[in-house]
Amino acid sequence: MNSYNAETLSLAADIAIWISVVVFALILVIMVYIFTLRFILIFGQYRRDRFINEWSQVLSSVIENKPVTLPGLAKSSLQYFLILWNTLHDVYKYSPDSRSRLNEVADELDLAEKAEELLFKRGLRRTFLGIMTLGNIGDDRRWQEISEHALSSNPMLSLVAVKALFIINPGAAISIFIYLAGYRDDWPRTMAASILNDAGPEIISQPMVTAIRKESDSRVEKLIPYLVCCDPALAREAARERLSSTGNDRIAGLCLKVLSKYGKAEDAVLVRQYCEHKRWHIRAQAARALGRVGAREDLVQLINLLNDSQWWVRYRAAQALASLPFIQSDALEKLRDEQRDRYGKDMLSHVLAEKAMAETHDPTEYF
Amino acid sequence: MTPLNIFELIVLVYFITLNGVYIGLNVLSVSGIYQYMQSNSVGVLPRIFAGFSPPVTIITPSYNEQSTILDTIHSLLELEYPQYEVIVVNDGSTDDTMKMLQHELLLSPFPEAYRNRLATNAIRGIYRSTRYTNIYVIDKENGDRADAVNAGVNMAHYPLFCAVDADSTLQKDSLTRIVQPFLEDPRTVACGGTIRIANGCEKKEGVITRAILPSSMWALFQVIEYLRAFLYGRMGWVPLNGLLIVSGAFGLFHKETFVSIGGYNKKALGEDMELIIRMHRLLKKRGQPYRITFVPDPVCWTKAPETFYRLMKQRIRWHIGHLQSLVWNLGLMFSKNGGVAGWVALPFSLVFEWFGPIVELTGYVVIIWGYLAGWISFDVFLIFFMVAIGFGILLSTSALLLEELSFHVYPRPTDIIILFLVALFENFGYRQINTVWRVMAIFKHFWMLLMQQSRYT
Repeated sequence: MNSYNAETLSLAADIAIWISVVVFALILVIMVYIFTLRFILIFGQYRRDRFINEWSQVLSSVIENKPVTLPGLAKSSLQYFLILWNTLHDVYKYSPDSRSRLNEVADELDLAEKAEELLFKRGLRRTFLGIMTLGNIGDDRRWQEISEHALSSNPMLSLVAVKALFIINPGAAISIFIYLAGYRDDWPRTMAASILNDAGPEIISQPMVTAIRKESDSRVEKLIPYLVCCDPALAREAARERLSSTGNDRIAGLCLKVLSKYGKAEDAVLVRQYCEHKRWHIRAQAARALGRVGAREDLVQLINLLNDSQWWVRYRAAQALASLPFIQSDALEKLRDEQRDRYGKDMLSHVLAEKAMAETHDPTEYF
Repeated sequence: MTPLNIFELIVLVYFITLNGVYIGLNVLSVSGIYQYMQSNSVGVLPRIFAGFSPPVTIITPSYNEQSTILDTIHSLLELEYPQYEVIVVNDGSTDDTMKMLQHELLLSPFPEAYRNRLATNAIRGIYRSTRYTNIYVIDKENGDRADAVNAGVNMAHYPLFCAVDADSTLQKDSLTRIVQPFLEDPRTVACGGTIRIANGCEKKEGVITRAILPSSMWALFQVIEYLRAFLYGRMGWVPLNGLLIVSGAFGLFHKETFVSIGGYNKKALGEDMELIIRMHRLLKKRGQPYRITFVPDPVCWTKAPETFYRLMKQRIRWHIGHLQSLVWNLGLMFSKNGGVAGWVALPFSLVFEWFGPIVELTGYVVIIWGYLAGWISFDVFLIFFMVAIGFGILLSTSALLLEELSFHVYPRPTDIIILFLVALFENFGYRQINTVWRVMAIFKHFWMLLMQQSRYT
């Protein structure tokens, strides 16, 4: 037993010694690696700054259509160049001539082949650059390759590929966008909406509206928020149609939200049906929409909603009353003073104060 | 095998297991940070887009912050985010905080339809700035930070809120960065960001303009500590959905989820950790899918204590808060749907961060005493210190590596040399003194529990 214990202790000690040796060796390796990274960073920053200085001037001259000789492009500087070139494409996205001149530079430098190679290299950063470059070059022979990346499980990669497709052929890209947006939960909507915004309502509105009319509830739920990027009249039509036929509460809420932005007086009949909905989110959206489309006969309904059990319903009802064009502030104050319900009274005071501040301090869009 | 041998084994196993887990978290963090940096390295798409970025309420609890509150407000006004409101909660300050707010913001009483969803101490008045109409001030009776934030949440008009301490400084893109997880995954209910040490940094109009290492040794040690705590201590748990804390200094929350679980616990000394553990416990109990996550970007800068006494007080308070959070939420541990939080993170925290300091301190004392008394050979003595200190240095240098792979916030070449030296020397005294403070916290916590018990009997 004693020799067993002594052996066990000795083994434990040996293991601990080896662990310590490995640990200290790792520390040394890590520190050398850190110092190497820092050296590469400093040197890389210096090289990058020099490169950007030189090529910024060259590409500015190209954009201004001045004669310029292109310097050589080393393989090690390719990524810096692509970031600069793609950034300029984004800056001049509304200037076809500037973009065309940038693409002439791309032809001279065989950028398309280089960008294609990047698609097969490891690292998301390289893939992003490759896709964006091919997109900005606008060569539809790469359409298939880029479409495959749009199906990627990585949401950023997928969005970058979709953006590239929009640059090449927006009319065809919108179908891919609608297909993907209808099932993906992982796309940051801010980025997806910015892509649609860049494409413009003329391109995206009709296909989006058609999809919202025809597709299933589960897909339409994800598409409706993008109606704000569409033509207001078409967005309103799509929301109206879907609202009048849906039994899905979530879709009803989203459609009401669209009507609160784009609705017209004739939509009031449809909106009123939702003012007494069992779900408070719907009642709140209906109240909000009535603030835009409501008529005098809706005053009673809105005053009733001031006494709703939910804060947000009361708030939207008060805001709706405050935004109706035929009610002035003094009429609202009178309404507030006549309120027997404390919560309704408080809410009207709140919204009146907000309105007063909005009128004093502009531009302030209050909700 | 003598009791001493058994004890030596226990201590060795403790150090190796604890540090082995941290190394595992390190590996997860490296992968997480690499993916994150790659995804965010090329700004081809805007992170924010007006109309689609969710509006955010920023709540700033303030108690006697007359020297920092205006700087904080100015830094909040510089945020580059399409829609947000700021609610400053004057938590019964006895200095000129309220006067300064009145003067700077041109406050006017506002008839807010205030909702008392979370019980708080009395509200004395609500004001809105006539100069910056997205800034409100709640003036209330003192009730501590948790109470102040809860009052702010009662008034918050937006679906997401973040609590920013009055002595914290955000960067212009802090909100943009910390909101991303909510955009990418609708299950997200809470997100933290990396907190950095502001001591020594250059500031202009409330915004950090240049990151400079502090000159105080205490603050320097904390720079390394914070790197460890955030870059792998938090990042490592995220892929497992096992993160147990979102810093009170800056974290973004889904308001309705926060309210539904009862808001911050006013009795907790570490209300930030207690909230998150409770979130795990209650959301799992409800069967609600959720995600608590973290962005490694340095989004918030805070002042660290620079004196021994202030640091000790802070660390004791933090550790008691830690212990309270674990004890009050023991129901999560090994619960049926506990997931990684209940089956791994919480037990790990309980064993290694609650009992751990006692084992560690006893280890140091017994080994040193044993060697001096001749009971322990020099070999064992040396092995113990090599393992204990070696792992400590390894973890600190790997945090430096993570920093170098990602944000390299301190740009000067000499900075990295200084940080490496600090990473070495913090293991010869600083970490050990933290262990002593944590043991003091454990005893103080037990004393508090005994006092509470005796009050009921």
